[in-house]
Amino acid sequence: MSVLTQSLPYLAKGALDTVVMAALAIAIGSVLGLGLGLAAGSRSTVVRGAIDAFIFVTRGIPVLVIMFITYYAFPAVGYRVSSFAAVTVALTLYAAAFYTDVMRGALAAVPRGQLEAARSLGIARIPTVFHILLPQAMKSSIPPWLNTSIVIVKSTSYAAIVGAWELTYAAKEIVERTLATFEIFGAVMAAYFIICYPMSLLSRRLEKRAAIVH
Amino acid sequence: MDWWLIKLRLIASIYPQMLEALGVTVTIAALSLPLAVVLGVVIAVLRMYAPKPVSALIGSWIEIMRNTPLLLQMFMLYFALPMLGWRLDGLYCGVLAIALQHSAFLAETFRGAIETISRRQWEASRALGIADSTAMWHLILPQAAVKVAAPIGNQLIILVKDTSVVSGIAVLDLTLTGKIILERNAASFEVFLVVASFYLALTVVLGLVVRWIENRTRAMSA
Amino acid sequence: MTAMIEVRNVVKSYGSLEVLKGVSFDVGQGEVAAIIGASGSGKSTILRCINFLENFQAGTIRVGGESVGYDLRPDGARVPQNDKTIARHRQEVGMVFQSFNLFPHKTVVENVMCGPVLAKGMARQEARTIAEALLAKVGLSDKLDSLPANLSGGQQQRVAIARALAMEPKVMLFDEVTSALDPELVGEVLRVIRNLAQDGMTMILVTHEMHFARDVADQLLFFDGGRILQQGAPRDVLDHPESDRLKAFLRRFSEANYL
Repeated sequence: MSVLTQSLPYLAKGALDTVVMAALAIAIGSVLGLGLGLAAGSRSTVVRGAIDAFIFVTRGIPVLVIMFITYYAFPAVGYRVSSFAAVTVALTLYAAAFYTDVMRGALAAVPRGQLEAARSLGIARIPTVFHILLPQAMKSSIPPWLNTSIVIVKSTSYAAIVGAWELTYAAKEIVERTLATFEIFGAVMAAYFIICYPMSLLSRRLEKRAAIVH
Repeated sequence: MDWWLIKLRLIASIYPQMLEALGVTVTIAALSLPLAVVLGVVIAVLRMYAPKPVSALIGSWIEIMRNTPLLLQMFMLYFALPMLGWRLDGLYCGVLAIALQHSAFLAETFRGAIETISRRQWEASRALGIADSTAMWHLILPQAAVKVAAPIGNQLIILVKDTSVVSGIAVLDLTLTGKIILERNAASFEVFLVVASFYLALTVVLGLVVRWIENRTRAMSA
Repeated sequence: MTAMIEVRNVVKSYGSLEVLKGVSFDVGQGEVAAIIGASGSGKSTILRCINFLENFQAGTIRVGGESVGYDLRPDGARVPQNDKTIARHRQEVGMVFQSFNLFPHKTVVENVMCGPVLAKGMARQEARTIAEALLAKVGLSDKLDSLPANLSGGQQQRVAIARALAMEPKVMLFDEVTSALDPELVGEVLRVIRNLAQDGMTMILVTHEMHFARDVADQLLFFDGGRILQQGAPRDVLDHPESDRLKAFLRRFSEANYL
């Protein structure tokens, strides 16, 4: 047990890095996802196609590979960024692809009649989106948004493979040194669990509530 | 112009290694999925029909597997198994970790499929005088199997991407091979674009297979 | 004198399926036109063409003298109108839907205010005054701050009518507005429509309410297979059907409704 108590400060720092990485990716990714999700309603096939391609490619490859790409791409084009920054950029792009799909789906799921009612009143496209479609889409987008956020939090652990220091990396360091496998990894798993499980519960409760209404 | 030729030559030279690495990735996926399906069925059945304490324990295990990172679970196995006396090769360790995590997700899918098979199916078979266990084996499970075919396919697509996690324990899959090639040849990130294209190809093919399964099974589910 | 609504030879297809095969009729100012027919006959479609919720491949539609959806060039070619023009036309044509389509996240009064505020840029206070007056007219002053989900079908439909009226349209289109209502709620909605007719609103009603059509409409049109098979005064059309199809339609109708 004492290995764990001795390591707590070190692990806590790792946890902080993990939380910051996840928070940045989720926040920026969500904003991008909202913007691109709205753009996906565009009448231009070029815009829709580009967004489709972005989602398809980004979700079709492992997040670890995206992390490696950014990790080596930055220096290759002349920017010296920390591994933490490179990995966070990768995670943000990955998150954005998922969030875009969520928003796009939520907007499309608003009943057609709503759009027709707004159009027949003579309301222009942009006010229709912001005042009529978006408020209704937000509600249904929360469970999938939560599910995506859980995936992002878990994906921060891949940073350890790329070499960016965070909670999983710190845990591995300690275990390699002390072989206190169960205590250390157990504690770290508990840490991830404490962050993710409440989100999972909330998501399922909201989904159940939505199912009852219909 | 020169620059492009160098890139193309590099890409051509790494293709043999990449194909070998592709084999490793596909092998891991091919071993993990059946194991995950079998484990998933077992876990789902235990969750639904075992006595309360066992069912609750299984439920907790499912939640833990779903809410902690795969990489961490794999490290746990990789470091813990030797301590318990098992010397497991990196590849099989990865297969086990991946199968365990995906079995938790599949168990929930299976549970949902069995539970939502219309109550009327049960009533119809009972009205015909068919025993519950016979009905389960011959009527309910086949319908559930049809229902979960497409979700298993989708889970496979995620699983293939998850195989990249074995790079963390020095298994030469597509991702780790890419990294080694890059370091050995002092090449640039384009190597990983090639790696990405391999994964994308797998995703596309599997996606088409899933779509085909969905089309074939649509008419068969009640 | 040009009629308020002029429909000339409108043709509409969905891909290879032709749903309107050359439809023409006029509705004069202050007139009420009722459209009857089986489902798939094109009756809802022509309504949706008049406020350009659907496009159409040939023909012209004029509301208040202005062409809707397309401008005609001197050489006869059709030019699609831009979004702004179409929105402007839609403000002059009020539509009420079978499924009400109220905005669930807004209160009753906010629903009625939506058109003036979001489409005309009216100040909220002014819009609210108009909304309150209209809701009083349809008999819902006590439900101003309720959410649509807490209202009955008949109440929701009356809100929908008030919402359309808030834009001060020249013309009102009613697309089977009582078909989705429980029978005991139909009367309150028909009462509102009748009052509107008596106030002189130009209207087209797609409806199954034959009694109502006979009472309130100035002309009745029977749609079948994308064409108008008979039109005229309701009494004439209903009592003296000329085609076998209309006879069959009316017969099926009386069987189903003990007319």
